Amino acid sequence: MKTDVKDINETRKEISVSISAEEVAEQENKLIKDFQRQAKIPGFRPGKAPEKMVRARFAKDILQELKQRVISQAHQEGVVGADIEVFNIVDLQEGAIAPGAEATVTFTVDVVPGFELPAYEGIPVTNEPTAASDEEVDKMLTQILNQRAEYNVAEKAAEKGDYVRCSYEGKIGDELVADLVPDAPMYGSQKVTWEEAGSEDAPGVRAVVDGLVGMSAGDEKEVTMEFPEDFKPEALAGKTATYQIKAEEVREKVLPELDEELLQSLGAEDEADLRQKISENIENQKQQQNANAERQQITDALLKAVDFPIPESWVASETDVVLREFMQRNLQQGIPAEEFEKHKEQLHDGASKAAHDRLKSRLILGKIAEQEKIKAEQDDFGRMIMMQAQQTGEKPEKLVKEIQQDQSRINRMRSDIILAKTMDLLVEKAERTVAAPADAEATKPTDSGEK
Amino acid sequence: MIQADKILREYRVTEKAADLAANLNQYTFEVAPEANRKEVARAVAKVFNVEVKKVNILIKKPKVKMDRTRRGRPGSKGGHKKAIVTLKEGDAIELV
Repeated sequence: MKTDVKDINETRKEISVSISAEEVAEQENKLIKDFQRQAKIPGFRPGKAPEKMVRARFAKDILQELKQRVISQAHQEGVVGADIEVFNIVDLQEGAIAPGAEATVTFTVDVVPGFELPAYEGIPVTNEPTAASDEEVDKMLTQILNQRAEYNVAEKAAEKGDYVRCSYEGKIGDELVADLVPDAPMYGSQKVTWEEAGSEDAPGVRAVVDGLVGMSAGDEKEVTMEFPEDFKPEALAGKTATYQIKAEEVREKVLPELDEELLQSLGAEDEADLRQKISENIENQKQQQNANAERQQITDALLKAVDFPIPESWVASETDVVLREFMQRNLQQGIPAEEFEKHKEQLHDGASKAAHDRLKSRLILGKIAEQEKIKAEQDDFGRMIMMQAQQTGEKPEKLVKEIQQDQSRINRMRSDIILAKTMDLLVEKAERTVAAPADAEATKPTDSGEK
Repeated sequence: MIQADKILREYRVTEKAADLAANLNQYTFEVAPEANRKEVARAVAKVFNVEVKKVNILIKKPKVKMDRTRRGRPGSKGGHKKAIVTLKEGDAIELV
């Protein structure tokens, strides 16, 4: 048997394995023996039928099986036995395989790229200070109050911050804006909508929001909106539209008093306690953010540190995964499928970039895991299964049974665990600096390594 | 004289016949009860275009069996005339 490896590009190789006539014949003889053992032919006990008869009766099956055996033999020899890490077989050409003749099998394979590990200990990461400032607590408190605010109908002109039920219709010259941008009714015509008068960060048409200030129920008004040059959707960029607004109802926002009842419903004893709780919450949130940011920073650093090509077929399959995840997430949020069709290419490009980075970081982490001899222990599996069970609401025992039947799932879990553990190790070994602490008491998150 | 294809009734596909064919170049047929060695030899030579060296003939007697569906009246089972034909070395009959 002879193996010949040709490079097509950095990640793709062509391996051709030629098998001599004797080797093929040997395979065939073994195969016939196997067939003879099982063949059921009338007049003969199983295993007693003569070779000639078996050959003649099962000629087609034998040839097919022989092809398979020769290919798998070539695969063993040329792909598994070769000292290259093959990720995926892209193409297979078997040529003619017949008993008593030489056979050549050609594999086109994508290989796992070899690369030098960058230094992975002491990767510098920057943390944001986690202490909650008074302003943040105040903001949170207002937000909580806002959530519980009541909106009362008011017989007065709308002031800034009041909500107004209104309708409006935008025109550029004689043309309806709604016809220009049918996808964004917000900029076109609205029959019934609520707008916060004079709100700073309201979406929609600026001029309408500002124009509502000072209008009472039943008032009508016309405002002019100049869309900036870089406005999106582009159909409106740099144009001037007039909007006919009609206010229907004005509601005034009334914030609730921070009284005992409200405090109780929030689970706090007094205002100080509530503030304490809010600040703890904010701190936790920030720590979590820091932990995530650390991981992101480490991944970025690793990605930047080495450069190597990733096999196309791998990126392609990972891109599909990324896209599917993305679609699922968005479909759950109620974005219609047609939206994706429109931005298909853009999405695909983004996904393929993301897939590329994901694979690259996975390869690097995998190699680090190898070097650090990180393994998935029984405990880790247990924890992972418990977590999945909680997420899906299944019983852990049932899940275990399901997983046991699916080897590929186990492998996937194992690699997930190993990658997570490697990441933990990197986080542990990273060098932390806290970015310009706003508060002297800013503390480093110490628990992020264990999450 | 009977027709050649009336003489040769069946080619026996059994372990024993297969053994004989594979090792001793002997082919086993069921033949018409009234046929004799010479007629069988001629028939085989004509149908398969081979040279026959020797013909052994034997009669397998039918077995008497009780037939329960006919209130236990006896019937018979099996029974035929068998010819084992030895061919000249190098000649063969290919039948599967």
